[in-house]
Amino acid sequence: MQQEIRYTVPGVSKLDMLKLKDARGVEFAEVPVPAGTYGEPVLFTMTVTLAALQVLGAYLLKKRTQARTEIEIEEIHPDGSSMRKRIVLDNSSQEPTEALASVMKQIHGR
Amino acid sequence: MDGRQHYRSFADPLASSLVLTALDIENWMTDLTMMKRFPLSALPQFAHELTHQWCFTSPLGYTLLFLSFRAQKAALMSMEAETADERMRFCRQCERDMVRVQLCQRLMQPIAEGLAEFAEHDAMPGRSEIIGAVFQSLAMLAAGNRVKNKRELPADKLLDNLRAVLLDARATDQHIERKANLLLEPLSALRSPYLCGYLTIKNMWFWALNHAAEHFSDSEFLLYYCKAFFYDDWDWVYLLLKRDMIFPDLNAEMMLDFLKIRLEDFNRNVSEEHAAEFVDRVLNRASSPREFESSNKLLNFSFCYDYVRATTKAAEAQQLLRELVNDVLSPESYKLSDNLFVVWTSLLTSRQNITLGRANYPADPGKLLLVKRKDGKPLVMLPCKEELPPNWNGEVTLVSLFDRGDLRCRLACLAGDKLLGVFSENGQTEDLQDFVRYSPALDPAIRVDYVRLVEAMVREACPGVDEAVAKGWNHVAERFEQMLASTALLFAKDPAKSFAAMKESGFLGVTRDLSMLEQLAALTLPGATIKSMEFPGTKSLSQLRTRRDEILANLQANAGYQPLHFEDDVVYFSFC
Repeated sequence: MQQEIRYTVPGVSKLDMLKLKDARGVEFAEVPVPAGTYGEPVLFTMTVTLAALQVLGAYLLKKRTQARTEIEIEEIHPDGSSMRKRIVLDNSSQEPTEALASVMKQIHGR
Repeated sequence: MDGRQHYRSFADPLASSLVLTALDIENWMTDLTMMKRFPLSALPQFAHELTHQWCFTSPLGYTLLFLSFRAQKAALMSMEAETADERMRFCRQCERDMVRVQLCQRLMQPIAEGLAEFAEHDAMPGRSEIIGAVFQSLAMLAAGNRVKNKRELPADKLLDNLRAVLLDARATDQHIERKANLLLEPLSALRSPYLCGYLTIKNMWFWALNHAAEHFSDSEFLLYYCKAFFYDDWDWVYLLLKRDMIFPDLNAEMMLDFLKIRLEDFNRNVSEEHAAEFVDRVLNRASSPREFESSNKLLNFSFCYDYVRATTKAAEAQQLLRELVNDVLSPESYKLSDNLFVVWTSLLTSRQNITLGRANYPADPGKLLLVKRKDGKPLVMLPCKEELPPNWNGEVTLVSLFDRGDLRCRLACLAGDKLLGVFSENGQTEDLQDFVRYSPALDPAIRVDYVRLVEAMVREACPGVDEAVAKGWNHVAERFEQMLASTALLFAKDPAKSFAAMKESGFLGVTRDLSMLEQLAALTLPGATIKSMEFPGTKSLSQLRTRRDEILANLQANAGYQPLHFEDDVVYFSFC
């Protein structure tokens, strides 16, 4: 059993996976499509530990667009229970550091 | 995460289902269904998956569907057989049909993905007189994207509007990333169908531009022509239905040879004359028929096969398909399993309806059902005629449906499994009859589950299927990889060197640098020249272009490539 809280985010592109794969506390697993179907090119689910929370925050921040975006992540607790969180990526006039702080607060509550 | 939820978009060739992950359906439900706006970020992905759907509803697509139905019927009959000989006979029939279905799907997958990727990244309606079903659908769905009220948009401006929306959609960071991901796919057809298929279609376009520029300068026309060329192909149907080889390796060889000839045919025959003939067929100006109807009237569809092949086996192939449909949808099949029969007819009738997405919402009962967002704000009021079920849990499922026939959206409302109502975009209540019968089929994931369940039954009844498919596939795999490599690298100066560089990780093997690959993706997107990306954090196009010469030098040194030409600062490489 994992001893610490982890976070997962699905739908990570291969490009992002290759950029982030060497970061500490980050793991990737290929997202499958049902057998026999025509899926889109490969995507990954990223799992990060608390130590790599900044990586997750920076990744989510990069996903901001001109419109308000929401991305769902899952918080997995050491006892196996989990909780979904919708992270709101708001395109306000926030500076990158403020925006990162806002995302981190939504992920981890501080 | 929830096992039922999907995080990668897909289309199912047999269930004809489509699951889109880029759509934030919970927030877009009403805008989508009222056809007010279509989310920009999901438009290219939708073009991709809709192209798959379009190919499935074709002579080849229906033939594969009915062959798999017949295999299922044979599997069931083998389970009910009274003697070992009889059981063996049905199992062999099942194996032969499954081998043909699965080998054909595997061999065609690079073409299918190539067309879908081309629709996603390149195709743009131009000056052609005709437009295919995918971009017709997109034009309707995106009609409200740039105007406050889509009714203000005159019909003759629909395509202008779509072109502008597509340029916007393809100039976003997310889209450049999707293109970069495509360029990162392995070139080997045995490892991935995407890049080899995409480059094959792209090369066909360049070839066609050189030989029939008047028609093919419209890239959407290329998509339409290729869809008809590969999928409305009655010779494929003839091959699948007539040449019933017992040995899977011979079946595989025959199919591979056929595909090879078809690919060569395209380059050999593409011309302004053939393109004009194709336009005439689509516009019904040609004398030959382009409607298929089975004698039991249960299957009908239109097609537009290409000029070159029109004189060969079309009539015989159509008769063979009629016989197949009669055999599958017969009273005998209904007697064998009424459940399976209902699944088949459900899969058949629901092919026209695309489920854009579904989401659950809380609701308040009343004369009008008040559906609310999760934060309690009202979303929509629906005049449901059906009663809520007695054990209702206070939640409804809204399903956004798009009908490819009349190009309209509808909203279905369910409480659990019970369908409460179906509403058109202007709020009118629709006749429930057609929808109630097939209400489980409104969930595309359930349709896919049906198909997988039935396939599992086939495997249990006839355990030799997988082995037979593998035997056929292994016999042709190496040649298949070589064939796709040569079509994908048609314009490469040194194809062997290029294939070695790109076999495992696509263009990363050429650029050897991720940021350069990202820039290559941006430089090869037509939309990227028009839209300036000013959102904070994105790279401006001028920044992207600063390394163009460096990228080109790398491509030439590592893979021996030359750009084909430059136009308005977009680099049209001969390969991407």
